Amino acid sequence: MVGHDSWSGESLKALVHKTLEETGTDRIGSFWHPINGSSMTEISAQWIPLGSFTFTRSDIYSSAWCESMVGVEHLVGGAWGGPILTLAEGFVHVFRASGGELAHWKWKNGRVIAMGWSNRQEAVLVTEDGSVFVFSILGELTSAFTMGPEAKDLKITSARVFNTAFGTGIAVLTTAKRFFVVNNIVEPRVRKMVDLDLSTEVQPRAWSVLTDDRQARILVAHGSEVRVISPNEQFVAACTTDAVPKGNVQQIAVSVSGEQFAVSFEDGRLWLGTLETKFCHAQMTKAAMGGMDIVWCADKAVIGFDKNAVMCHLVTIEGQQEDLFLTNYLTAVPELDGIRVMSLSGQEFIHQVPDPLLDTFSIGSVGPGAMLRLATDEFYHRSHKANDYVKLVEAQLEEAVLNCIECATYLFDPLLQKEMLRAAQFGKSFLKGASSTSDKFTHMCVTLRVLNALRNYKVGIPLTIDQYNHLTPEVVIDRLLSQRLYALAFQLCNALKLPQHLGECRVLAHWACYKVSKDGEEDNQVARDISQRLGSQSQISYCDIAAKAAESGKKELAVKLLEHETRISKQVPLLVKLGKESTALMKALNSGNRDLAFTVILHVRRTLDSARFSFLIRKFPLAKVLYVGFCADNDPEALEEWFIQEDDFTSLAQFSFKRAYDSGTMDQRLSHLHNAVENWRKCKMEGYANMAEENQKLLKQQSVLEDKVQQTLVGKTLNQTIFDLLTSNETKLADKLRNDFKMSDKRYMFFRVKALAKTQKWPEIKKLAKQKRQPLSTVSIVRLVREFGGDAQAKEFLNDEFLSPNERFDTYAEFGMFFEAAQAAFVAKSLESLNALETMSMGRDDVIRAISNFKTRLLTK
Amino acid sequence: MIQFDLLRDLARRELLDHLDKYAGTKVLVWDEGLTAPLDLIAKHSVLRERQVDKMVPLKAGRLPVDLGQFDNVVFMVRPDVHLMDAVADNVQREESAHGTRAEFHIMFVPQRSLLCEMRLKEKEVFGSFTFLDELSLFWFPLDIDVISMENRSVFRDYHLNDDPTCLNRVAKGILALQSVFGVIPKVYGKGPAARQVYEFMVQMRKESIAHENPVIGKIDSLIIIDRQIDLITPFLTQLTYEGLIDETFGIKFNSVRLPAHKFKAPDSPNDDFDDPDPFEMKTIPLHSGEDMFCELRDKNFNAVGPTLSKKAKYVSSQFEERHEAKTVQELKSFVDKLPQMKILKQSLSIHTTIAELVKKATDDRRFLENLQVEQELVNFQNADRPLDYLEDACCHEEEIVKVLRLICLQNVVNSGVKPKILEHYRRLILQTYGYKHLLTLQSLERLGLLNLQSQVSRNYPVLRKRLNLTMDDTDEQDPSDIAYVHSVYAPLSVRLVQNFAHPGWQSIKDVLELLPGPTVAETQNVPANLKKVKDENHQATTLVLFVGGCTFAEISALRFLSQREESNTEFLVATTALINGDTFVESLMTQVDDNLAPRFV
Repeated sequence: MVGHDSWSGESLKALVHKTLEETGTDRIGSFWHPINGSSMTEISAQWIPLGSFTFTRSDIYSSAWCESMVGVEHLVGGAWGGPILTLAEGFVHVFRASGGELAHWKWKNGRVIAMGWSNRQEAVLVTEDGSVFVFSILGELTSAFTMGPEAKDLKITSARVFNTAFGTGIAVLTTAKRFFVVNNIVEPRVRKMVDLDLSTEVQPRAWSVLTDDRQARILVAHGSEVRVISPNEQFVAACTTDAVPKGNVQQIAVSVSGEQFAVSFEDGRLWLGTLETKFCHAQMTKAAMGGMDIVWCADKAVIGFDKNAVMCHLVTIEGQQEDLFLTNYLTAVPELDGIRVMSLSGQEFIHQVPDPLLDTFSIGSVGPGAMLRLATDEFYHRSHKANDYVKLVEAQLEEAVLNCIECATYLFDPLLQKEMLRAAQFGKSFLKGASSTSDKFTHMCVTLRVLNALRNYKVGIPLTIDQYNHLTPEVVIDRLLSQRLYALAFQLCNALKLPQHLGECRVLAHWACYKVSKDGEEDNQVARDISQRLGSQSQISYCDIAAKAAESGKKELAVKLLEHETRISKQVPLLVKLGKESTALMKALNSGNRDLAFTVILHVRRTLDSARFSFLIRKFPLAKVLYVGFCADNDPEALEEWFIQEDDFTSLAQFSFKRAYDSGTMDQRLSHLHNAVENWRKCKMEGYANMAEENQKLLKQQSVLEDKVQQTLVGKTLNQTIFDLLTSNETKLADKLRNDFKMSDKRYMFFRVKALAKTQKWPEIKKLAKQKRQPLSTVSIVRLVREFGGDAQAKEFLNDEFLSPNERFDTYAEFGMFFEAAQAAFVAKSLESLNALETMSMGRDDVIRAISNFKTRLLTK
Repeated sequence: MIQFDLLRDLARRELLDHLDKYAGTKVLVWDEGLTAPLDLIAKHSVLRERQVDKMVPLKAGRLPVDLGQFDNVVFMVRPDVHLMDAVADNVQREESAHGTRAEFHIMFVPQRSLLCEMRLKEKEVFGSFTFLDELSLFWFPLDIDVISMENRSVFRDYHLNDDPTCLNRVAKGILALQSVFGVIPKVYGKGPAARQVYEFMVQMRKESIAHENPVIGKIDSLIIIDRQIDLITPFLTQLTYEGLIDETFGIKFNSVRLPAHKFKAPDSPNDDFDDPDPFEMKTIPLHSGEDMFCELRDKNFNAVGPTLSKKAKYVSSQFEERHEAKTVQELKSFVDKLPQMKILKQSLSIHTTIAELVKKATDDRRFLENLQVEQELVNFQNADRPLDYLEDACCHEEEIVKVLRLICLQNVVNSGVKPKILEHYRRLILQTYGYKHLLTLQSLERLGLLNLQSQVSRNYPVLRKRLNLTMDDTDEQDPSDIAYVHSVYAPLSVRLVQNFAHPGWQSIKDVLELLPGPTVAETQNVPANLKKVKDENHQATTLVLFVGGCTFAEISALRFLSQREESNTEFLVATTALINGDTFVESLMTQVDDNLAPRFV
């Protein structure tokens, strides 16, 4: 066990710092410096061909800091070039993969049984009582939950943190030999697996989690058997049914894909396969793998590591074996495409050699990439052989270029990358016409710069190209943000040309959120810094930043930041939350967004006392309009109250008037009308008050008249009422009503005639029609007569006795008496009328003749 | 050239995307206000393909279908709080009747609304909905050059109720248009609503500029006309073919309903046996897709007769050709033309019938008298005539909208009426149509449509003179000025647009100052790569947006301007609603129901 001081954060930092100075890579974005400057020819020298696979070891980081880790019991590295989590001497530490400390904190939550990293790069620690703690990479507790009462009461003996495509899960084994699983720590729902059907009392030791499905299953060893258990079933896995001498299972390991697993037995046998298929069943050539940690290497092989040996042992799924030198292994992190191993000899990556490299770097390879590389070499040595090599690959030049580009991406040493890119560039110059290689070339150059920047000591995220592609740039940016590497993240977004909302804007927003939650700076300064950096980009939500500030208890800062928000719909709710109701209401109203305005109005109606509410609403005319509209639909009583309180007599008058018509009884109606009249008077709208009063008067009179004439009058208009009275021969009553309501003479006469016509009193109509200074034109009278008495009655009136000279033409024409009309027109000397008549009487030859006769007479006069 | 059909395709896609989301069979419960407009974007057959097996109108009570057979119930509604009560009632009843397996969804057209959602929560059905969606259908593409929001309450909401939130949706609509046809670089407008719409547009664009669709601009300018600046035009009777069909029968969403028996072919055999049902109505589509209608719609009605008879002669001469066809080739070319001829013949017969029906209405004595009064009003003749005519109309209980329409026209032309006349008109309305119209009178007064003449100088005479609003000598057959749409009067709104196109608003600054509200003349930033590419004949495209509605006559007048030979501007029309005097007045009236039970029955 190494002493606490020797690997504490302080000394480590100094160490890393030294390393950086030595290598001179203190500029973010510069290429990562290789540990042993390997050259092209050495590439294949390290290859380990095994059956149809070729493996290789690539050094990643120097060994310097690994020494301090020897003997640390809890040490877990995160996948995807993730950080390292350790627990020792009561402290939890998080280190970058390259060694720098990211965080440390005192551990006081009980005995830790297992640790691991989540998919989102959070540190997960499981304690003896089944409690699970999730920390951000910088040591902030983000969530905690428990694996259920049994785990809590009986304690657990072992636990696993596992990652699947759907999330990060936890599996625990209690002292009662029962398994409990949480499939996703984001929504922790504890599931109990079926009880193990065990023949011994021994606590199962070797077990692992199979994650080929959304629901994880447990692989657990029982003697020489391996059982698969899920929440509702258990069965014996195929690997133990093989007819081979039995020995107890020592270890079970599941691959990154979650499907393949390896089982090692006491007698030194190793079984590799899936639930359905067996890949191989090998007897170890060397010492039994019994005491070794077995780890999958990208679904193609497993490697057994022994802390005390100087070798590790690689077995492919075809059963081929090989020993590799490795001193003082510390931990191994299974990755998508290999294993990252930390040992005293440094940090290295054991992986299969990618195909492009195999094609290009195999000894004696004549692949197009290899030829192009040679050609380039010769060219830069100014040798004529360059031409020969180019000739050789001429036909496959494009393939050769692509091959070289791909090789570059798989190489870790920037010098080698450059060399391959140079070869690609050289080959490209021979390609004619447009080609996709150019785009690919540029794209790869950018990607390589990004990868190299990430692999830099200061950052310490050693991703391979395959891991990077699988992870996607957005997630990589996320990881940088969680480490608060804002400047680097910003530059990467820029280089990768990520869309603003995923890229630069997101980084700036994170930065701003961090800045506002940090203590120690003056509000005004912070607000100024942020607005200077962010500008008025509408893609950045000042609101989210302000919300963060509010969360950290900095209300004033939040309000200041909100001033920069362009999206009113986001700004308003937060303003309300911050207690700035008046500003919120003003902004919401100005935006014209109805919903937003109501959000505020209804909020203040709920939260403020009535005096403050009214005061606020009163300030804004539109708020009044909206509130009144809302009340009209939902709360008529509140509406009346509001009008009264606001002395809004016009609205009150209208309100009462509407109510009058709503009410079902005469008394109610009259009383509401009375209110309306009063209110109109109060706001000096005499005209409307008088009209409403007339309405009252009419209702009262109708109601009295109804009793007299025994028919319905209430609800009828004045016109109808008078007509009804006239029809029932109540001329006196009608006369009085007409005087009371100042009905015009013409209209009254119309209804008189109409009533007479309806009751067929023709002589009376004639008497009226002959009256002098008659308000109603004779034509109107004749029309009414025809309506009720037909043409025959109408004829009686169609003569010069009733029609005044200037009525004659129109009336005769209207009633089809064309000869009379022509005569009248002639008398009136109107050529125009005659012409009009001519078109009207189309087809009546006799009339036409008469008209033309009149016309000639008029014209010759 | 821009065609608004594109909007229909977009809306249809959005609708179908939503429908696809609700897996399985569906019942569609329609808000009846949406039936016709949605029919414009997706025909029933298209919906049926998406497993919409049944469609029922929205009504309170149980749904008239057996829900056991359906997987989904989709409510399609406008965001109107009152409709939510019916929706809630439906859901509650279905859920309490039997634990239905159908899922409920609600689709708001065009926007969700907080108040609606609140009402659903109040009724405790909010949680019953699986999906709450928006069908962002701001515009109904009525024709290739006309889109409408079909919202008749905009003028009332803004000018009477002082509620500008309705204009927020108009601005949103314009932004939606811009996301399809590109940002419009120049924005002009007149009137308070125009200014407000523009301000909302600016604010919204600022908020969403990052997500702006990079579309190359297709429209050069936008002119926003607040209906308030021209309140004369809507009150005048439209005299174009389409306008008159609308005035007499009412056009709703590109179709008109007319008595079916008028359209039966005279030689159809059934006629001898069955008396045609006089109440059966036939829906006749009116769309520019039909060549004949396209030619007739914008003509003055007096030119429709001659055009139809010319067409008739042409059709019969074409049919005559078959006798002259001697060679096989000639015969073949005749046969090839037959289908087209048949369509033409059918069109001809339909429009002859419609024209006859319209003619009957326009020959009516009262129609002619009314028209005469209108024309005298805009020409300042016979000042006493309206009173006399209206008294008469009231005796005969003419529809109230017609009476109010003329009163409003007189009021607008004269900037108010004299106290005595005001008194008289009010009494006329209240005594003839009931005192419940008192609130309507108050609204009209607030809007300046029936009020006391003020001492301030009257605008109309100046406008009339400066903008040549009235013409005595329009040629209705072959017009040379937009005045033909009302025979004697050129719509003020369109005259402003005409002046805008040539010689520009600078020259009528004094006139613009007479009109209410501010003038808008602004430029919107357009990224250089998205600027409109000038076509070779330098045709400019201008979108005219009417806030508060426009009439068919105004659209015809704008089309007339587009089609004039010397014109280099193509006008497109967007409006909050298509209106005519009747519907406009109706939208301003306050409905008051009389709930007093009569004593004698």
